[in-house]
Amino acid sequence: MKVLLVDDSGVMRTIIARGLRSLFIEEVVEAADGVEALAKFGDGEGFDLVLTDWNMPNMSGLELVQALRGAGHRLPIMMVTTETEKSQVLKAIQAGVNDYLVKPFDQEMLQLKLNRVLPSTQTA
Amino acid sequence: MSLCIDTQTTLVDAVNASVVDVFQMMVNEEAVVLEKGDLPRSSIASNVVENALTIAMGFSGDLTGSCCICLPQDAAIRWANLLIGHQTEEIDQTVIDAASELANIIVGGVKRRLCDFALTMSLPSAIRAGERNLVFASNISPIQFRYKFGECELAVVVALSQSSVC
Repeated sequence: MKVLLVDDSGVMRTIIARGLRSLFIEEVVEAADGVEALAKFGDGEGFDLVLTDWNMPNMSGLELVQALRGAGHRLPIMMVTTETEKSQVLKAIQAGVNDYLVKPFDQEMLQLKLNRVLPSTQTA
Repeated sequence: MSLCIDTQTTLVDAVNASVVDVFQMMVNEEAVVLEKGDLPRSSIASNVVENALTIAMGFSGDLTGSCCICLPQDAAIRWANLLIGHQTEEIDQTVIDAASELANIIVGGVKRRLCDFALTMSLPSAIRAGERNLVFASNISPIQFRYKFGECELAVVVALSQSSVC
């Protein structure tokens, strides 16, 4: 399984990547903002999931989701954020986000959310 | 305008719950609430620059002001170690990034718990100083919260004013 992990915080990327690897997701491609994410995503070949932060410089997580959905990509996208205000959540859903992982989270919550967005490939 | 009593009570609960939650969820450690009180004016603007790290985040909307997470050096280093296993004896960029993430998640949790208020929070800014070096406008009464995790302490200083009438 291949995951695109987008967060401007290197610390948060480390935490999530470590969590993903402990769930046997070995291929984690990291990007620090939406622009870098789009460049690394390319035509999307081989990617199974996008995990993205919301607030990032250059291109936000919301703009990234809009760009990916606008280009016709249908893979699951999960927002990892502290943002839970109703109007913001609605915006994200309208843009095509499949699920939310609210910070703070633990390994159990990460696994639960992954199993929800990737039901055909249940993690450990 | 100062905070209404109800708002203060809600704020205290929100800060305490958010700090405890972040430590429990992110590093499986208990953050013990030590005390809460007004930041003593006598200790404000100390000439002694503490070897510490403060992460400041702004609030705007129904409540305006800032929330500062203040970590003495040992606490900042310990947090980075607990969070990602980072080993260092001094505050470096990774420690600053880890502390910024701590502030981001704590303040995000406070905002989430203050759901009756329309609030926007800013990105975190890091300052190489402790809470004794913080100064605030005279019309704001900062509230200080102290916590202990392991042998380390951290402080949260919230300085907010309320735009609406109580």
